[in-house]
Amino acid sequence: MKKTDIDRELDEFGRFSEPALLILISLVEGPKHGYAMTEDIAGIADLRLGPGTLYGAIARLESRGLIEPMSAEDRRNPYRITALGEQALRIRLTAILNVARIGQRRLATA
Amino acid sequence: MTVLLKLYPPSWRRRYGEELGALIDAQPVSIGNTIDVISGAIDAWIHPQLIAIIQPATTAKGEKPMSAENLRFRCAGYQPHITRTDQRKSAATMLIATVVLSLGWMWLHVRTHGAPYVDAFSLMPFLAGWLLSMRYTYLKERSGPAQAIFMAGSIGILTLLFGLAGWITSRI
Repeated sequence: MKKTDIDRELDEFGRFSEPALLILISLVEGPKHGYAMTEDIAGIADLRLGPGTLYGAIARLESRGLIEPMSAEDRRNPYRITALGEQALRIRLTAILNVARIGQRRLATA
Repeated sequence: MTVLLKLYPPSWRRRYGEELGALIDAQPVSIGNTIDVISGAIDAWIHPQLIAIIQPATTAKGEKPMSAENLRFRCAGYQPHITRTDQRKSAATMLIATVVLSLGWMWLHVRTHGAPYVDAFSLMPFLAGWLLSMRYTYLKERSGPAQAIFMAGSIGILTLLFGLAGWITSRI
């Protein structure tokens, strides 16, 4: 399976690639600040990201233009997904789905 | 636990400090969160390029002012996209240049029997190697002449400083 540049960018996040993917999934529903993202991700993936991990992933996503900050609400700053972020998310989810399909097919014939 | 924010680099705190502080305040204090914030601070020091971009203030409509967009590209916030290959090339350049230049310096040191001018340049191999490695990191995506001017200029300034140190040492 050939990887695109955008897909490879998420790979380069290292240990932050999974949190970054979860953040993109959370933000595709609508803009959220840090705490709302943590709660949403805990709900969808049963995984509570620590503050350091969450902001490590946010900084990486923002530096690549995959998410962007909005006007601050008091101390909190909501983020929204960009068009590039949506594209990256779509590519990554398709790749995951393909791997899952192959895995399930092999499990069925095992 | 917000006292742990002081472990982050100042530039990182300026950009994310307030919101990270708000998130830490909203969560219960735990060993897991403390370790997570500390490891986040280590990561922020290791990857300063993540917040090198000047973050422009967004307007009410979420549009970025043009001056801020220009600053993003013109000022210290310049941020090249450094891949793992670039990091490897940079490390290899630094290592090879440092070893080769160190061998050259050692040869000169032996030939001149430890002359003060030669001894003054003992740190030069490492610094020159570091400057040359910048071609793949900080100077990436800059034009060839800009890279050459930066590296040659920096090495020139270092040569003057080390030469001055050698001159002072030879006078003592």
